Amino acid sequence: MSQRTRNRTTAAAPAARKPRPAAPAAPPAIASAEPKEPKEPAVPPAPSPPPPPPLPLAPAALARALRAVAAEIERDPALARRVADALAAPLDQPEQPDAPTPAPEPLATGTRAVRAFTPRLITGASPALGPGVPDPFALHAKLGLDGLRVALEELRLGSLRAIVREHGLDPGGKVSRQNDAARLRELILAAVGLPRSSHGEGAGG
Amino acid sequence: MTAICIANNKGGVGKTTTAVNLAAGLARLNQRVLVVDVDGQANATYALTGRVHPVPSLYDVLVGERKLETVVWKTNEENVWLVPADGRLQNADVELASRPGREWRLAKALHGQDFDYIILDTPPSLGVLTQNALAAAHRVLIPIALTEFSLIGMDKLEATIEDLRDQLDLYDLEIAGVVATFYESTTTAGETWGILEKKYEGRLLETRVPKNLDLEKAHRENESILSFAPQSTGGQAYMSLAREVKKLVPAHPQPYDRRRSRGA
Repeated sequence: MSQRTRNRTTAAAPAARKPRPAAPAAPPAIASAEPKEPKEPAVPPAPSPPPPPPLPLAPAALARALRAVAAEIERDPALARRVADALAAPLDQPEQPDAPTPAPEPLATGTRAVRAFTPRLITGASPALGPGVPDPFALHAKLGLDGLRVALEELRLGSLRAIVREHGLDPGGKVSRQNDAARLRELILAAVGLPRSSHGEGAGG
Repeated sequence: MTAICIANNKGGVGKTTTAVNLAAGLARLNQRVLVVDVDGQANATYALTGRVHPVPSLYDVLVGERKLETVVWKTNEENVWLVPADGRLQNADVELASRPGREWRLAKALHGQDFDYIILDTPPSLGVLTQNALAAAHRVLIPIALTEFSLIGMDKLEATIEDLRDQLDLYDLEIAGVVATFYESTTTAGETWGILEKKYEGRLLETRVPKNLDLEKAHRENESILSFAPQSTGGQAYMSLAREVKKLVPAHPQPYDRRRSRGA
């Protein structure tokens, strides 16, 4: 637990909420010869130079605290940089919040690449496909070559398999039995009379 | 035509997975199946068509005046049709609350449909939508996950079924069975199974659906496990469940009429 956290925790503790006697506003003055009324406000003294404010820490304690900070700065380069930046900043610059701590570098585990988890946002197939199983021939007529390719790219195995089944594009069922979306797309594109794409090995199955 | 409502007021017990894959299994047994997605989350709609919140949908039938036949879709599964859902259904409970006969709207909309089975996938609540599904069903199939929390709240569903049976004169609405899902060989699952055996003596189905990643992958690919990975443990379980359900709840030869068995 950091010092700041510990202090915050302590301050929030019920014991810390007990009223404390008020600290004296100034060092005790020399006792006056005249007795004072305890409940009467003191008569303001005649104008005179104000006394120097009291030190919140004794000089020895202050020096000890600064030595501890200096030791910590030497030990912690990040703290040293923050302190240096703060000292170098102009006095009228508003205080910036601490920069977030950068995430630790992922550890390399042998030759295996570190993969980040990227969840897929499900948006569903385009409404342009209409209800039910999409008709690739109608889509070709409506959207053209590029539109059909894009539409097919959006579809997943189930929809692609359904198109092939509904339009009898794979009589032997050889391609349909495989969980290979790319080959199913090729099969559909071939069926609507489009040239096959350069990748993949064709749709014949 | 026989209508089976997949219901459990608890979420995450496998209702949609069971609805989609049971429908696909029955279709492979040469049955014509209509899935009705009564859940505003529309997960069954996505799993069977790849569409997210299509419009028009069941909402327009229940809240509006659209004919159900106009929103029956072909799905990615052969011999399985769908009445899709969309997000507006999540407000339907409130919108239907003050309408007379609100629990009967789905049953009336389905009247005359000619399939072998209707599978009704419900939301994880006991609101008006679930009441519509229960009122439209001839039998209820309850999936229960074999987990620590699965038994909490089960009595509420049974009480609701009892209440509806009395209020709506659904004297033939019965629990067809309880199917265990997320089965795995653990002490917790074994103990939960033991409790279910005692509680649902004679109604606990023999099929136990295992915890199987392929079931999730199949949803992602917008098809049933029986298309995506028929030989997986999940695929074999759902095919087994379809056979068991077909035997337990045979399809009625007449078109859908919820009032048929009430002697009306």
